[in-house]
Amino acid sequence: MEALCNRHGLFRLKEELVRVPFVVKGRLVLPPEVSPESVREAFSRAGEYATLVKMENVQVLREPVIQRSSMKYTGEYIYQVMPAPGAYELIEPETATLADGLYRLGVDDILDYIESIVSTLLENYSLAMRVLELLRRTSEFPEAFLDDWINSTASSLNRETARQMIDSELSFMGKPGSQYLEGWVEVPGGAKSGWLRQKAVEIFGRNENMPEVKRPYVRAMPTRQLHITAGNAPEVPLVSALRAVLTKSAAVIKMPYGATLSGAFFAMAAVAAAPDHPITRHLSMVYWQGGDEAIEAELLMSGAFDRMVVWGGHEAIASMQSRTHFARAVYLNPRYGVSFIGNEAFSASLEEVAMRASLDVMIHNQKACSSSLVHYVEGSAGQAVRYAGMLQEALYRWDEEIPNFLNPLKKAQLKRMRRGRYIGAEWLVNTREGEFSSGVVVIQDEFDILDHPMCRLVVVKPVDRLEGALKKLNQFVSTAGVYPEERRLELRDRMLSRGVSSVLSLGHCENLYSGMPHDGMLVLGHLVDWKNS
Amino acid sequence: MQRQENIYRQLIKETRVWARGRQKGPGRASGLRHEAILNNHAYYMDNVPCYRKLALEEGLSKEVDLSTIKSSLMLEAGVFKSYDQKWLDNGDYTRMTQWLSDIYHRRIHVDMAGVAAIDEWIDRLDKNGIHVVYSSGTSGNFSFVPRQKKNRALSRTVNIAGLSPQLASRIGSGFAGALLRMSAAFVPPEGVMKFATRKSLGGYDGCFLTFRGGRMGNQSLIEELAPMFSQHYFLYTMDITGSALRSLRRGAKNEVERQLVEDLKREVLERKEENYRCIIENMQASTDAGKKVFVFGAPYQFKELCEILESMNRCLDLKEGSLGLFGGGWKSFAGEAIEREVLVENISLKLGLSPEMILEGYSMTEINVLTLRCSRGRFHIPPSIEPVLLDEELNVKDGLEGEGTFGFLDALAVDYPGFIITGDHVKMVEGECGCSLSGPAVIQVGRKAGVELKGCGGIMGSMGV
Repeated sequence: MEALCNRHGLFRLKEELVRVPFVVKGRLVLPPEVSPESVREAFSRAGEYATLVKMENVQVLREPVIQRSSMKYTGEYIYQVMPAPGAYELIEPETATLADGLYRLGVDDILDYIESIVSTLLENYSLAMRVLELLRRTSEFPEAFLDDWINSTASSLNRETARQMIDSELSFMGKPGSQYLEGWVEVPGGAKSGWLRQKAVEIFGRNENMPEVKRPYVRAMPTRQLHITAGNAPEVPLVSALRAVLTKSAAVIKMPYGATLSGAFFAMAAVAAAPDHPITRHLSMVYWQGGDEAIEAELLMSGAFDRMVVWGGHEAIASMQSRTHFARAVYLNPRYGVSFIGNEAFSASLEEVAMRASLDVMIHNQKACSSSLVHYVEGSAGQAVRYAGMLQEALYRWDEEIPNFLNPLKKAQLKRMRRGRYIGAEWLVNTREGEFSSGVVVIQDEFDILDHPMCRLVVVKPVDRLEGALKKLNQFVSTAGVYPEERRLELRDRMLSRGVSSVLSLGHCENLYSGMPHDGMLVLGHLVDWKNS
Repeated sequence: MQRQENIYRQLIKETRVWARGRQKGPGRASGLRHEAILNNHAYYMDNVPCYRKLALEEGLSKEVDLSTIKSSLMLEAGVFKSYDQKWLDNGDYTRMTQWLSDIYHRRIHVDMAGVAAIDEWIDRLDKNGIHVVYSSGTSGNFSFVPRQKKNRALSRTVNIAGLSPQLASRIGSGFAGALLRMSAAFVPPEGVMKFATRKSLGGYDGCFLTFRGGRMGNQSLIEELAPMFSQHYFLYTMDITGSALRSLRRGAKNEVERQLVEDLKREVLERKEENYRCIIENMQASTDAGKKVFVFGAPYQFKELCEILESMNRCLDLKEGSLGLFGGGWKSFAGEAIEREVLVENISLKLGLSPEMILEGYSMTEINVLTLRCSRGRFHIPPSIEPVLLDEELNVKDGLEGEGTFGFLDALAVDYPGFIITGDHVKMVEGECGCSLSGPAVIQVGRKAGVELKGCGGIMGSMGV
C-alpha cells in the first residue's frame, strides 16, 4: 500500500498539493496531474470563499491549514487533488451479477474481509501516520480527538464486534442476524393456511394438486446503497462504509468535506487488502460537492439504488428528501443532546456534577448528535448561574488539556449571539489569547437551537421543575444525560416518549457498544431487504 | 443636539449633491457622517441600555474612534428580537415595552392595560409618539424597530434628497416629475416634503402588490406613499396583522388566532388568482383613464402577476412613464427564484414597461434609507450611511471591495442603536459609476447561510404560496 502511494505520489504533501485517490467499484482511480500554479489560479478566479474548484477531469478541495500550537489558521492552504468520476461509473445496473456474486458471500467471508483490511491498516502504520499528519494540518478537531479516533477505530473494527453488529441488528424471531444474512432461514412456527385454500378444498375437493402449506423462509437480502455522509465526525464515512460491508451490499459512499483523507485511505486499504474480493469490487468511495446536479440527478434517479442513507444538516436532509420521493431512505437527521440537572445537584457536590456534565458536552468536541448543547437546571436563576460557573470551570480545564479550535463561522455565530438576540443573557466565557475557547450562557428566554454554534458553548436554562422541561424535548433530541440517577429512572419513559433516543446517566452519553440502536433504529435492519420464500 | 441637527441638515444637503452626481470622492459628507456617528455613539452610551451594556463589556467609554465602533460596537440585527417569545405568547405587553425601552433612547412609560395583541401594542405606542415597525422572519420571531415620530421625518427627508434626482430622470414630465426635478435642483428637501403630501403624485395611480395595511417593514412605507397617488389599490384588500403572521409561523393558540390564520390563507392562497385578476383590471382602468401606474411589490409577486397575465393570454400596456419597483424576497422561494434579467424581461413584456422604468430597491427595517439599483446594476449607498464589509469571522475587512457580510453605521439612527451587522452576504464595489454616482455600492445581495429569511417574501414563501 505504501509502495503504491509512493509510486503515484498519493497522500503526500508537495507544494501545498495532496493527491487523493478514489475507489470506484474496487478500482483505484488516481487524480490527473495538475500544477500548483493552475490550482492556485483556479481558486483565485473562484473567489476567497471557494472551497472547491473543478478543472478538467479533476476536482480540488481547499482546506485552510491550522497551526496546532495556537489552534489558529496560518493563512496557508492544502489543496486536495481528486479525480472527478461520473455518475454512470458508480451505478450498479446489473442486479443479477450481484445476486450471483456479492450476495452469495457468507458471514465469515465478510468477517475475514474486515480482518484483512484491519491487518492491512496495521501493516501500513507509517502510512496511516502520514495520513493522520495531513489530517492534523487541516482538521478542526483537536489533536487528542484525532489520536483517539485512530485508536478507537482500530480497536473497534474486529471480527467480534462486526459479528455482534450483524447478530444484533439483523436479529429476527429470536435468531441471530448472521443466519439471515447467510441465506434462507426457516421461520419458527411455520405459516398458517389461508382462507382461500380452505375455500378451495370446499369448492374443488381435496386432491393432490391442491397447494400444501409450505414452510416459510426469510432472508436478509443485501441491497444497492448510496450513502451521503456528513463531516461532523471523521469516522462517519467509515461507519457508513462498515454498514455497507456488513450487509455485503454494493455501495457508493459519498465522503464529506473534512473527511476525504480518512475515507480515501480506508478505501485504498480495502483495495490493497482484497482487490478482487466481491465487496471491494462493488465498493465506491468518492467525493462530489453536495447538491451537484451533474452527478446527483443520475444517482437520485428512481431505481439507481435500493437504499439511501443520508447524514447531514437540516438543509442537506431537506434537499435530499425533496429529491428522493419514492426512495427507501434512512435519514440520520441533525440531532443534539441535552442534560437534565435535578435540584439535588445543589445539595451534592456541584463541582462533581458539573464535571460529569462536561463529559457529555465534550463528546466529539460538541459536534456529535449526542453532544450536550443545552442544560436544563432545576432551580432558581441564581442557582443556574452557580451551576454555570462550575461548568465554566470544568470546561476551562478541558481547554487547558485539549485546546479548542473555532473556525471563522463559529466565531461569527458567537458574535451574532452575544451582540444580537442573546445580548441580555449572562455570558460566562473562557478565553485563550483573548479569544473564546469555551463558555456557558444562562438564557432565561426562549433559545433557538439552530442558533447554537456547537463549539464548547453550553446554554443553561433554569427551570422550576425538570418535569416542566419535558416539553422542550422532541425528535431532534437524540440523547439526554440526567442527574441524579433516581430522577433519570423516574423521568426516563416520559422523556423517551417525546422522541428522545437515549436517556442515560449524566456523563455517560459517549458510551457505545456494537449493535447499538442509532437514532431509534437498528440501522443494518433497514439496509437489507427482508425477503420471503 | 444642536450641533447634531446642524450636521444632519448639512448631510442631507450633501446627499442631494451626491445624488445629482456632483460629488466625486468622499467630499465633506464623510467628515460630517463620521462626526454624527461619533456623536451617536456618545448619545447611545447615555441613553440606549443594550448598547451601553455591550460597550461596558468591551471596556469602552464615550471616547472612541470610528474603527473601534466598527470592530467592537456593532450590534447584530438579532438585537431587535432579543425579547422573550413567552411575553408575546402570554400577551405580556408591559414586559415587551420594558424590553423595547432597552433598545430605545428613551424609557417608555406607556400604560399597556387592555392591550392584547401585537397590533394593539404598536398602536398604543404610536399614540404615544413611538413608531414601531416590524419585520418577520420565517421562524415567526419578529424584529421590532422603534423610532420617535419626529425623527422619521429626517429619514423621509434624506430619502427624498437621495432618491429624487435618480427618479426625476426617469419620471420626466408632469407634476411628479417637476416635483422631483425641483427637489433635485433647487428646493431643499424639507421644502419638497411639504409638497409631497396628499395627491402630490396625481398623475399616477399606485398599484401595491401587497396588503392594504399593516406595520410590517415596507407595509408601513406603503401606507405613507399611498395617499400621494391619485388613487391606489392593493392586491390584498385586508390588513396584515402581526398576530396573524406570528400565528402562521408559530401555530395558533386559540380560536381567534386560528381564524386570523384562516383568513390570511384564504386571502393569499384561495383567492390568489381572483385578487390578481382584480388588480389587473384596476391597472387597465387606470390606463384607460390616461393615468400612469406605479407598481410596487416583491419579486415573487411580480412573477406571479406575469404568470397570471400569461394564463389570461394578456399583456397590459401601461401608460408611458409608468414605473415598477420591486425589492427584497429574492431568495424566499427555493427552486422558484428566477434571474433578475428574466423577471425584468417578463415585467417589461407583460406590463408594457421599458426596462429602465423597472426599478429595484434594497433596504431593511433597521436602516433609514432606501437605495435604488442604478442603470449599471449598483445599489449606491448614500452619504448618510457608513457601510462596513465584514469577513467570515465578522471582523471588519479592509476597504469596501469584494464579498462579505454587510454592516452599516447609520448616521441618522438616533432613536435606536444604528450600528448594525446584517444577515446579508453582499458583493461590493467602490468608485465612480457610469450612472454618474460615486462611492461604495452593493452589486449583489444574498442571505447568509443559516440566517433566516425575512420580510414579506420570506413569510409568503414559507406559506407555500
